[in-house]
Amino acid sequence: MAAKTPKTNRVAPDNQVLFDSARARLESEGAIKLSSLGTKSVRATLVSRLTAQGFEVTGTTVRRPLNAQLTAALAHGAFIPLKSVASHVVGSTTTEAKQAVRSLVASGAAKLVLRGTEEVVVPSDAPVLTRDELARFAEVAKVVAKAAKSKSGASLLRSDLAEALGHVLRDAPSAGKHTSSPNLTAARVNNGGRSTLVGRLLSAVDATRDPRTGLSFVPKIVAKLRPVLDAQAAAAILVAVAREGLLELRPEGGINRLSEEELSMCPPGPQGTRLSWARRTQEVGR
Amino acid sequence: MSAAFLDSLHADPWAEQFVDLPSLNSSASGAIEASIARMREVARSEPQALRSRSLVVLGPPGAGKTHLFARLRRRLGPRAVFVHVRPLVHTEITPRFVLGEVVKQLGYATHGVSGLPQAHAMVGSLLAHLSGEDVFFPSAFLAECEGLSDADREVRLDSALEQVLAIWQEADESYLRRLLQVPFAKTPTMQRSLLAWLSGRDCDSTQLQRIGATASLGEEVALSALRTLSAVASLGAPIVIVFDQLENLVDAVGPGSRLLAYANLTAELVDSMRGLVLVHMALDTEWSRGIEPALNLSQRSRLLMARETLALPTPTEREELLRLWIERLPDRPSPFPWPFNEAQATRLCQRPGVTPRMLLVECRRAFNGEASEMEAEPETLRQAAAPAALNSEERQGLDVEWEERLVAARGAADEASEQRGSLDPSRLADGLLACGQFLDEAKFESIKSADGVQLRVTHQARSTRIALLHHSHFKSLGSAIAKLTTLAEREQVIVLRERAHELPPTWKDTLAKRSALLATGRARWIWLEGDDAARLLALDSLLQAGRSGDLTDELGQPISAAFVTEWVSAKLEVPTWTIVREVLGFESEGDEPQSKPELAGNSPAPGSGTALALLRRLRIASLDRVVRESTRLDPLATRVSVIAELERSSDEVRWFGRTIVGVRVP
Repeated sequence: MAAKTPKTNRVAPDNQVLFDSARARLESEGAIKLSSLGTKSVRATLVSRLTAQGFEVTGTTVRRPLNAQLTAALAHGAFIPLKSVASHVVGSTTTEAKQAVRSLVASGAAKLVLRGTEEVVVPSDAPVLTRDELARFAEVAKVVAKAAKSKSGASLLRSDLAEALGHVLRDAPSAGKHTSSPNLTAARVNNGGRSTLVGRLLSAVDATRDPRTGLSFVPKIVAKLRPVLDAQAAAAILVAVAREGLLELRPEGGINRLSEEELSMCPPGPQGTRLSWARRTQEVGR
Repeated sequence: MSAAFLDSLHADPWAEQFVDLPSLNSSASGAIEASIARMREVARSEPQALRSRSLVVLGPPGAGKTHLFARLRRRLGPRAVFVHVRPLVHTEITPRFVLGEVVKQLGYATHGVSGLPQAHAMVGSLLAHLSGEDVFFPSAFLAECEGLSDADREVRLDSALEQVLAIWQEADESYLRRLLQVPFAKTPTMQRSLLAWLSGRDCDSTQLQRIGATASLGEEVALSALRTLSAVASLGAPIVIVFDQLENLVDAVGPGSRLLAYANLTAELVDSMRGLVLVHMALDTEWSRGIEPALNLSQRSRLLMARETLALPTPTEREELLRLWIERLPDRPSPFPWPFNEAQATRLCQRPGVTPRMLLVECRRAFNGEASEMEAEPETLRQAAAPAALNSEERQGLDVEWEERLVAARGAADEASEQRGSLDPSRLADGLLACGQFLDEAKFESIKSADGVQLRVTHQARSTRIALLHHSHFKSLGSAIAKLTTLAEREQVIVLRERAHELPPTWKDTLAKRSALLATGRARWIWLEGDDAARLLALDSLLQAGRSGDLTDELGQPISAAFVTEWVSAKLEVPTWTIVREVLGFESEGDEPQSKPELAGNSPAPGSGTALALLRRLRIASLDRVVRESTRLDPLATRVSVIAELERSSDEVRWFGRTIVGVRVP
């Protein structure tokens, strides 16, 4: 007769350890599968503790709240197309992610804009046209449309249109600007804040560097600097720092890989190129 | 030196006129040099431990990647064998293709040793090393060997062969024996035959007889041949294979089978070759976004043993470069910075993002008295120019680029003809596949086949296989035709063969096989005319250069790949090219597809009698002359229609072989 296998002395799982581990993973990964929390016996307890701490639970997943994930994504200056918003969060379906966006927009924590024909979510501090400004634009657009359809061939005076547009935009903050106005930026650059900005810029270059090639993608640098500098100011200071020899700015060699938005963040280079990559010259190795 | 170098905006890897600033990107050239030296050292001290090395060199367009090749070739001279390979864009790269490129370029001259071919330098260095002599003077050692009697030289070569086999038993003896004979070939024809055999090309019977071989090198021994070549070369002049413009392997939608085939092949070369130095050159942005992410860990560990990212010239280096160029200009009225003024030169040296090519463009503009583009520097994003719009200058620039590529392709055809070989079928297939981009209703694709290069074209819901038959030997050609005859029972087949390699009337068996193939009624035989072949090669080259950012307009402005495609589409009218129309089954001039495939003896309708009238006047002439003069007299006549007309008048026309025709005397 075969000897009986001795019973294993199973150690009861330490709920606190499991909870801490789940929390840490949620913080780093954003979402985890319910099945990975542990055995069924401990799962219910862990889920109730995590829910109590504000984490959201779906049929199969526990995740950081979608609103928090979206807010974090937007805090880095991202412009997120609505149709691909689910790819910017974890543990969510597209429908859930879109609902979360709508609730954020409704609460004023984000804004929804049209870029071309696409709906895009932008941070709440992004300068967008007010309803009143949109209405005034619509009035101008009506006139332009009328002229375009005119059978008599009537056009518009450039000066009239410029005046009308100037009137509409008179009180609006500059397009493409975020928190900092051009004047503020210029002032910052001109006074003692310049060295701080250069330091910040170089930190952004380091933080966005691809460890394999040693190159930093300029749109990523600009996005990093966005709370402090708008795209134009960031590009200007990139060029200034490159002139001083601290950075090497390199022309884009790719095959139409840059989106319109990325292109708009890259400073113009010689002969119609765009300077889309940067490298700290200390690493050039010459 | 003349000012012609100002027009060389794109580095020629084999250029003899060369201006170099050695300090620029010295770390990249130093890394490759160090790898070569290391190969030689290990090959001599620990031959069994010898492995290959692979480096990646990255940089934006115009940063000097190809220039690096030219620099190393000049700097190292006979101490290394340099091979420059542009990848196949539409078809997968194979060991045979690489072997063909390596051996073809073994025939190119080594720099600094007055016209000594690289093959001679390689064998000379090897023999010198095995005899305990200095390997850096191969021509002197070869001269000494040539001074020996035939018998003594044979003994020395046998001894060298034994020495190599004692070091590496895996070396292919018959391959090595013929390799060692290359510098001592009695005649240039003998030498060409040896190189043709070594390259894996299909040799004709005369070539085989000349070198004492019974058959050409099979596809299956290509890797073994490469292994032998790389190992023996490493003792004296290691082989450096530079794969350039690799960004062409990837397209906007992502990596494809071509990239993976390339990665697999090069990983295998690294694994199984001894003493080979592989250098992969690509645009930095395309490598990091399109190529490297597609490689698996195993491929990355083999390809990316070292990485060099080319730097742009610093302000000091820019000034040095400008001085170097300007000092070479003839009839300078003033010293540097002429043709610039001080302010212009300073601006040029300090502006961010300037590559050496951009600098050369500005230098050329200034020399020609044109306004500098860099005068009006857009300082802000809003002032930046919109992406280049279509304009006549760009068209002008592309016209010139296209003509240059056509000339180069014709040169390649002449070179192949001199070697009694055919154009590389893989490149021709690549060109045909490139044509596919400009056809709305037809789709070309490459298919894997053990029987040479084959494609598939799908047109009007009909799928046809295209085989490029480049064989020089009647037996291998006959065998390929026989296989296609079997295939034609199942699907439509098109055979493409260069007109320059028409079947001689003495190849009766092959001609009979051809007739059998055409008699299936599901096969067409298309002769690829020289000009059509040149167009295919030129189109492939133009599109590749466009993708690599290597095309510039007359003002030196880079031309985008999208614009090149648009220009080709608008200007070159690819769908009307004879070869394209023939492949798609259209008559030369009409729009209707051929209702029936060309059968044996069922040639197209003859022309208007021009050829016969001409022949009556000439009495006897070469077929080429009759074709040439007939097409001049009747623009609608083609070679095919002229031949058909002459063949129909067999009671009046007498053929002497397939090249001479005369009027039959009653």
